[in-house]
Amino acid sequence: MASPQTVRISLAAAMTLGFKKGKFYRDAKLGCINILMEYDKGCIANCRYCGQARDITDQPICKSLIRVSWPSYPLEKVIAATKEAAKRDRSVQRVCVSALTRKEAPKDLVEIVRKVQKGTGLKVSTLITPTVFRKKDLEAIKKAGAQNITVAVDCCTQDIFEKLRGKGTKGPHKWDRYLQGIKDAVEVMGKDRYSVGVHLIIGLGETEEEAVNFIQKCYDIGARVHLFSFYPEKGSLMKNGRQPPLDSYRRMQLARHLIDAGLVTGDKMRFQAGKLVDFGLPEKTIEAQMKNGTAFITSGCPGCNRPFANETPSQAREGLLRNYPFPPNEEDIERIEGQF
Amino acid sequence: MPAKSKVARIEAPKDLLYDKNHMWVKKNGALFIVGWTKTAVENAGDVSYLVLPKKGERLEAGKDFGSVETGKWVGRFASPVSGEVVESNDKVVKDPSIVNEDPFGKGWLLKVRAKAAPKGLLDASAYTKFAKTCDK
Repeated sequence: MASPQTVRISLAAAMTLGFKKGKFYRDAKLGCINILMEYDKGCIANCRYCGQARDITDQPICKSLIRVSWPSYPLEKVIAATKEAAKRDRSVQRVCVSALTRKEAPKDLVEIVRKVQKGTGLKVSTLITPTVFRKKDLEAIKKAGAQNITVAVDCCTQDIFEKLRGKGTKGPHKWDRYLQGIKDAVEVMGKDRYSVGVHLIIGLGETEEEAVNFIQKCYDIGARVHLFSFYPEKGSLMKNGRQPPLDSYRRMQLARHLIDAGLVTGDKMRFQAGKLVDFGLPEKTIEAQMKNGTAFITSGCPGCNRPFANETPSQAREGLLRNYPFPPNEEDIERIEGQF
Repeated sequence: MPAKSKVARIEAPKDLLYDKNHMWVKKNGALFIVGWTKTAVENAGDVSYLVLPKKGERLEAGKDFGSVETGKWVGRFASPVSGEVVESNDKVVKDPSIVNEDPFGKGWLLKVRAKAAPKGLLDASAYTKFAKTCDK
């Protein structure tokens, strides 16, 4: 079986829908049911940091993605369980459907979006790859009822992109196509604040300056950036990689938040040897924003909180939580301030 | 320890004793074998990582030891017995899935030498009643 008849869902989603037993550290609640398409021959892309890369899977088995397993279920069963879960738990606000890179993905994703939207009544987001999704496909996604289109660019420079996702991996992805994909999505969905997203992973070899420049570029185009912290995926080609230093990730979270909130633009920030040394705002404003804590909450579509996706629960217990899936409490804020 | 059980049917072998932290104890000669109940394991999820105390370390009844991580949760065990660790189960550390597959058998955690028998433990029937109350 394959999509659109069956789909994979994240472990967190499987737990929330009652398909898998388990619980969340600090009683975190999942806000978005994450669905991943699946095909008998897997993804044709070969991204070095991904657990779905062609070279390591070349089969439908999803051993690990974003740190956990993604079990497969019939779509209809997922839709019915999601509807029930949203009724009993108001935390469940949204469904996100992620595409694999395959030529049949656009048509199948549209069908999944239509069924999910109709069957659950929830807001539906999509995560697409411009390598196989063209503007007409984005229009079909919108027409099917999706509220958001997010482009998983992941890398913030062309060099890194080519090395990790493009020519360097004999993969099909091209930087220019991805940038065009963001622009196409904005044209189709409009510049509404929550309509178009861009996934960016921090810790793939970029400088902080490069990350901030890219974040600003996305906002200039009309898209919001959803930030991820690199985690060395088991079995991936970058399984021995290191997570980005926490202080650096915190700066990127705050920089993204300040840009997102319209408080400053990236060109006002100052860097030394690629490291962010000045956010371009008065110290009092920075302090207030840090105390507020919003900068450190998972960024994404409304409701998307991806609990413990970028760190292990043990790391979270040690205070090394990267994206807070809930508003950080006073103790968390104190710890975060120390991490700067 | 898991605060609530989502397990519909409570399994509790009659030859074991239990505490309210969902640990089980089995007397084996001069030693006590310690493990985590099926109710607790299933509630926590698929165990992915375990840390257990080493041989010679001392445990105190009711106090935390080790660490257990599942896909989205992390916690510590609470010892049901005071004494000295004489053996940790290396096999479950290497392959934590054993704890899920066979929590009352191959998934045991520690063997402990105690000077006195642990107090206040529950038999299978009392534990089953207790675990059901956790389910509410």
